[in-house]
Amino acid sequence: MTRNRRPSPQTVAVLTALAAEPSAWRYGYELGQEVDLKAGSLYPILMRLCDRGLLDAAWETDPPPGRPPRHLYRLTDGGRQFAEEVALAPEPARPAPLRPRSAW
Amino acid sequence: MNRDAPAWALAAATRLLPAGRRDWGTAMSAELAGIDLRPDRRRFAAGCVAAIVTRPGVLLRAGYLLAPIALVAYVVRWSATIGEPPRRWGVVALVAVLALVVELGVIGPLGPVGGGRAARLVRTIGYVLVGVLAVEAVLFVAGRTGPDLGGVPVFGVMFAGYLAAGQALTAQRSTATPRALLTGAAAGTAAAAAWAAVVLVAPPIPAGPLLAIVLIAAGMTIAGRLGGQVAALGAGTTAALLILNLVTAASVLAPDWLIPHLAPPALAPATQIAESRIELPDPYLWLLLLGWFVALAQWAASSPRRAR
Repeated sequence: MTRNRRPSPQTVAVLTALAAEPSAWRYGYELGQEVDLKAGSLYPILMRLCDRGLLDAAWETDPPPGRPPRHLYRLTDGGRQFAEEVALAPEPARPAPLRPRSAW
Repeated sequence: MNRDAPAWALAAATRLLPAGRRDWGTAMSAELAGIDLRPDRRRFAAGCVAAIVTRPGVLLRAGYLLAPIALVAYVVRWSATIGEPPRRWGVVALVAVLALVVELGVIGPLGPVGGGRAARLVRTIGYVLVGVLAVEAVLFVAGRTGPDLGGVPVFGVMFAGYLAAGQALTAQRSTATPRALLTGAAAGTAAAAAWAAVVLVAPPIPAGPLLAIVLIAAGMTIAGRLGGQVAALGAGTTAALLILNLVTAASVLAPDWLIPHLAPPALAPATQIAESRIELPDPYLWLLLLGWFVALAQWAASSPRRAR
């Protein structure tokens, strides 16, 4: 299920980063550094994408000793399709609202 | 795991998340565990905490936490109008105990409330029914003369028990199914409605609680057949609280023809009615006690350790 409004530039950046390697599992801190988003902006985006079925989330199965398993993310098929649509859509004249819908 | 200030702050913030979202807090903590530099840890944890505490669900939860504290603060201020210090602080203690129980239903062992509408509805009904009685009790105690506590300890134990039982019944960890919750609430309401109907058809209000007890027992039996033990107990507490609320409201608001004559007949009619209105709720306090025992049983029955 997708919405008609173009997502925020931050969400687009996350989608683009995830779509660059769609089969790879990514973790939050690394993703945040790549798209230059702080945790306070990144995690609400990841939550919304998960809620909308655009993102798969799983726990790391073999973390190194002494570190708890990380939460890993990658786009679902619907997420990939949405990322493609967003990439092809024209940029809006003005930025869309950053928080169109609450995460919970 | 490194339990420095960022890790502690993040763990504390995670506890504010609704249960269904707590995985995200765990995910953030796991990321934090992989960050070594202290400035980076601080920045990451601050961002995560900000992400958590600005979620609408968390803000709502914070409101639930702060509302009882605000209520106690208000009562401390308002109670300055009560002349006798023992009664004043008795009233404050009563409200503080009830506020504490409400807090336990938000973040403590009696909470949080279950995710479904049935749990929220039944918990809200319980809060309203106990809350109205508690307000009446507070006003009653505040309006008395003399330094005695006027039943504050009894009211505190009774109302706290009802609140805790209602919270245990509607908590996420409760064994009660939505069907049992709704069946109990509906049967309890039906029993109270039946009592009100009998009173209206054959006035006045009975001078004692026998009719109410019979109808509550009938409601519990029907609820038990339809929804099991928890539903039966829920029906009992709901009906007891509802009927007691109806009686206390009727003692003030009902027309004279609904008020039984409980005062000596030698009094003038107007005085007799006025005195009877004052006396009317007293016998029904037995309902409060009986319902309290049912509430304790409800608490035990909905406790997860009973689940097999």
